[in-house]
Amino acid sequence: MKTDQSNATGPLSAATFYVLLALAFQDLHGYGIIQEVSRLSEGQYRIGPGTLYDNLKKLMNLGWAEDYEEDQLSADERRRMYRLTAAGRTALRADLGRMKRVLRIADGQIAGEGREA
Amino acid sequence: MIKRRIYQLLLRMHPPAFRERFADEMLWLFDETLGDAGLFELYTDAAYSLVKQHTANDSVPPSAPQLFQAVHVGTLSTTRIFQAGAVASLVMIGFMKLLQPPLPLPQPPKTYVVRRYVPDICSGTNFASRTIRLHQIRRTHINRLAAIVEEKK
Repeated sequence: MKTDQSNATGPLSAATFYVLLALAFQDLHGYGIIQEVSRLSEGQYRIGPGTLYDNLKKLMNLGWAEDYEEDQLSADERRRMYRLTAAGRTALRADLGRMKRVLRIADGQIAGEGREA
Repeated sequence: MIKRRIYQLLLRMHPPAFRERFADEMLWLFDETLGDAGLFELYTDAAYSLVKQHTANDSVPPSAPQLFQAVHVGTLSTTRIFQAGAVASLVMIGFMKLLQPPLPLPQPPKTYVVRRYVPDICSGTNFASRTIRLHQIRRTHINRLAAIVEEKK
């Protein structure tokens, strides 16, 4: 019996979220993911190789990401590429939806407090 | 380069499955990011990953669904039924043993403590009263000895 992992997990950790987000736009190798995470967070969040591959392993076990060998480059330049699967995209979308709901509630709460004051 | 060697050592301590798959890439990223990220950050990150990989339980095979899956009727041979019966009997015997009240433990042999009488000469409050009491005890003792000697005579 296969469970729907995207619904089974709670909120994603910052590292997982950023790795998924980085892979949402294009397939990337490890170094590319690190650079993309740094760019997406405007330099606020950086992940190291250990955190990256720990997350990639977790994502691949969940079936949210997969890896493949890049064919076009020479053997020396050949790097393992990572891409998001449909399940990974769904999980990312679900977490973004959760974030939007939290933001809406928080906005309403803060606006209410402002009116009371 | 010693920095790289230390990082390689940290990678070598990772579980084999993780190491075989990601160690080369991690080392490549170490070389690439050493300028941007601090060395301490990279070591800490690798150490954190090391702990996480050793404590992660995702290497455990998913045994639960197999344990509770339906048994095919065709696999129930006589030998298997006999084996299952033997195992079930052993489990049952063990369970019954656990249910039995525990046997009383043998009691240790009684021991007697022989104490010598020591006159309490320290209960007095001051030195003078203690000395007087000591004299009294001595005198009593001497009188007893004298009485015993006289009896023998």
